[in-house]
Amino acid sequence: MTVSMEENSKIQMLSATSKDKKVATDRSLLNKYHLGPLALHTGLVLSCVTYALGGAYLFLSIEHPEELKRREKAIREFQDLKQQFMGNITSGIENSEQSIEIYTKKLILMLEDAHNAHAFEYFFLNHEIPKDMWTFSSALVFTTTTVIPVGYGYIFPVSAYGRMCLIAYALLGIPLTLVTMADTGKFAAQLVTRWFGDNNMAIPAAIFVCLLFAYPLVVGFILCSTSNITYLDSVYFSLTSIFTIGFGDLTPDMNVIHMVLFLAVGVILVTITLDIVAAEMIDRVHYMGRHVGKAKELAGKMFQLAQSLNMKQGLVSGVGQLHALARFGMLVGREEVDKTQEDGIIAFSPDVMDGLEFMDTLSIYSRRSRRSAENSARNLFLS
Amino acid sequence: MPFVTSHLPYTPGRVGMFTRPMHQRHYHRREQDQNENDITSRPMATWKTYARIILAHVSLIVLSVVYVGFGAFLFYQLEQPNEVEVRARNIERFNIHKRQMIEHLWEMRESGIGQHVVEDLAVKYVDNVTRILFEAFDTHCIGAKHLRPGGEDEDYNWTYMTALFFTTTLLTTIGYGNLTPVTGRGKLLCILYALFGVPLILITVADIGKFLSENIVQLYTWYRKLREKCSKQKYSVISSKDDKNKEGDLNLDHLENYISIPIFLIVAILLSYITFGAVVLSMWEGWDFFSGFYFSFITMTTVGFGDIVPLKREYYILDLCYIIIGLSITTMCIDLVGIQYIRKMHYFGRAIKDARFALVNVGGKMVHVPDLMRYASVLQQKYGQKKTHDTIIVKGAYAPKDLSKIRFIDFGALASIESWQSLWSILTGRTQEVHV
Repeated sequence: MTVSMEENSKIQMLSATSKDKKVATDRSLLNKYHLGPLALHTGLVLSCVTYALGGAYLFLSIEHPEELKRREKAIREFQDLKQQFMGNITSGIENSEQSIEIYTKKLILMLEDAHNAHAFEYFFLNHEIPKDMWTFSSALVFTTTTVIPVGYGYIFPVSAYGRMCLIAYALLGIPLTLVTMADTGKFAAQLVTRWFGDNNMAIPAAIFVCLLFAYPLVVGFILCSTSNITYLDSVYFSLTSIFTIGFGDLTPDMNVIHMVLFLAVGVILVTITLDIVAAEMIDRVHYMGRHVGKAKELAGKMFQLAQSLNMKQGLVSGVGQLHALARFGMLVGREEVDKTQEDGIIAFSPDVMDGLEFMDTLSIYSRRSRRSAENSARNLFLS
Repeated sequence: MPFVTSHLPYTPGRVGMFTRPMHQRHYHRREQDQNENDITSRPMATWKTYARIILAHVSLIVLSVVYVGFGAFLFYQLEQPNEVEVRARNIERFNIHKRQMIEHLWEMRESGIGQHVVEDLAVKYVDNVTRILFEAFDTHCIGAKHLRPGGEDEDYNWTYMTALFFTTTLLTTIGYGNLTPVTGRGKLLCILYALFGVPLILITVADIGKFLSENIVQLYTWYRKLREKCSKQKYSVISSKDDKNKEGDLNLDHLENYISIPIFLIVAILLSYITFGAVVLSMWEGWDFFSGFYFSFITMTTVGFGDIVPLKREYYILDLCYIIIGLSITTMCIDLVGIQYIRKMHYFGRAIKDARFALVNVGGKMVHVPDLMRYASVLQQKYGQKKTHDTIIVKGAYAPKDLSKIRFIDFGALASIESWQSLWSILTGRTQEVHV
């Protein structure tokens, strides 16, 4: 604590040596961009919501007339089939075996169409007027599960025009939604990282993994309470939903708003967890065997350093850091030239080590001795 | 990522940011592996190097394949007996009612009851048989062919091949839903299987996608270098204050070229692959072209409604290969394009420069920070000895003559350039999205 405060005061003193005009410029710049990130994040979320609602209205207007047309056709076909079968078995009982077989075959083939099965279930078995498959609620669930992309398949477009609209809709909607959810997830990950661990990523990773395990169980319990399915089915439905598998074999009674919120929060949670835990694993596997493993660590360290510097000190130190990188790059270029000369190998210049040490000692969170702090302050001033 | 280094010689005493090259030499670019072999002090056999690189990827892929295959076996063992039982029960029920209906109508006709009564009774029997047929159909185990005499054992849903198709589409999160576990143990196995399998498959697909993205970037870099050689156009480094705006335009042009053209290229690759899949699938399954395209698109985006699914079981292995490669290509697109936009949007408005994607002007060349750090890591590994901080004594530390001048130029120019670069990148990204 004392060392970090001392380093803080020294860096503030160094920044105070800048001109007042620079300080004024930095402050006006920060004030100018103060509402920028909030507006952008809110704009992304509102864009997703508007996109889903607009898509629901679009698909409802396209597919609902098609549904009515197909339903009337299906009911007419069923009635004709039934009348034909009745005529056959009442006129000549000798051919009843063959009549039943023909009736069975045609009925099963007609039921394989989802619209036909839906109309048949309501009209003939329950003697009710069939409910509309495409309502605004079901269309909203459809558009949301398309762009997330869960894809239950409860309802889907059957007309060619509807399918073309779906391709265009998903091509634009899926990147928008994924970017928004990744943005929200990164925000949540930053909050947890800031609260629980500064440099250690193990604790946030463990927290997110536990949340990922607990979320399907908790939502499964809520579904089991409110709906008419068992607990195992509820957990099964929750897990296949938040992993965006989306079989669609179960249809729990659920409010549309609750469904959308449940899906969004669950998919964001899965995205965060995979981003924290799996991304490191992907990079480790991919770069195994090459000598670039440290580059990831160093780049992360530099990123963390740049983030902390810019957030605390403004643009001045950040620009200085970039200049240090440029200076280091010049030394690297010099090393490249020296290596290719034919007059003999020139000994390695210690300037590179000086540059490395320069970057290391700039880290605010590292606890170093007082002499090292003074050295880093002087190097910062020289840059 | 391809390794980029500065080709310009460094002269002490000059300001590196705005150095004009005395003479420019071209070095032949070497393969990345050879470059690393040259840099590392300890020589290693070539086959050992490649074995170390490839072994992790092959192990991951083999592990995924074994996991999918074993899962298919488990689901087949759990679900197939249930399907047999359900089908047998429903077929027996249907046959019983059919026999009752025929016998009863026959007795009615023989006993000479009135035609009206016979018709009413027939209506009831037909409704009953229809209900039984619908319930049998609703189990998803019975089709028309199974209700014929002697057709009970044909075409079970759960075979090993269909179980393999199910486990692959489960773990890749496509989830058509044409085939789902029905038993309690099947659902419990599905929960545990997906919980551990989905991250494994995502890592494998992302690994393949990253491999593809590196190759695309490398090929594109070669293409751009070839085009630059043909055009014989070279950029000169600006060395005076008066050309500050021109330098800004140069940087913006460089950044724009880096971002915009790969987007078109990547979208073209994605749509070409989907079109190719549409043609091939329409040949295999007998669909029309648009249905094949629709199926390919729904699959590549892992939406997976299940309204159109492949039915020819002899082509299931080929379907799975197409799906896995397509998902890798989709991951490649996300890896190349999407992550940059996510980072830019997340950090927009704050004065935070994402160090991983920053472009640093090093000796007149725009170099990415990760490449710079990668080369630094190689150097550090080569000259492995580290000096302790306590023993470092700086004598006559290098102080450039134009210290105040450097300070002035840095603070003014870089700040404005970075702000405009960030804003322009976001605007360019939005424009590209509109075009797509």
